[in-house]
Amino acid sequence: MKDRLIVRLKDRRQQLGLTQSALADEVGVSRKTINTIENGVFVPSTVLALLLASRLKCSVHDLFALRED
Amino acid sequence: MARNPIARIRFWGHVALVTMVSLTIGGAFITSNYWDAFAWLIGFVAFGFGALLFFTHVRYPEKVDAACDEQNTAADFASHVFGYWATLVVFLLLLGAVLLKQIDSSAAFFWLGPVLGVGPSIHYIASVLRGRAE
Repeated sequence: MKDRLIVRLKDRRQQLGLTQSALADEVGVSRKTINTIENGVFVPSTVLALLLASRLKCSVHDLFALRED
Repeated sequence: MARNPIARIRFWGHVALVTMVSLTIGGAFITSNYWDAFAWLIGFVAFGFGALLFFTHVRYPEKVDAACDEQNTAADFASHVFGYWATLVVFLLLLGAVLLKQIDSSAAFFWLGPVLGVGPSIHYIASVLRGRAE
């Protein structure tokens, strides 16, 4: 499943000038969780995806997409 | 190393438990009557780990969410699944050893305890070292 996921979280975070730690603190997770989401190692829950999108002022679809095969 | 004090205590607590059990198993191969003292020490370390973790949760309530976020919770769950299967496999191995009269049944039962206790810790440490948990 995670192979099909495209993650644009890092791009959006960097656009807003946020560090992984700052974003992690704002959504209540560890920095490592943000790191593994960005690297496609960990797939977040719907709630966390919505929280990230809310904090990064975009939609979940701007952060995550499915690879089209 | 995690900045979160709860995650730090949790990791080193697991390391302490695995170390104590490893020393006990290693020592048991060297000499008999080794277990008695270490059984107490393992219990002391496990109880101390639990107490310290509880104290850290109370002392740093604002750090609990990050320490128990969904990735860490998933790693914790996976460690218990691993512990279940590890115990089952070791149980079957010990059962075979008992049936082949290689080990006394009471001793086999005795050795199942450390495996049951330390299996999840080994998996959790591996998760942290692989960058899958904190």
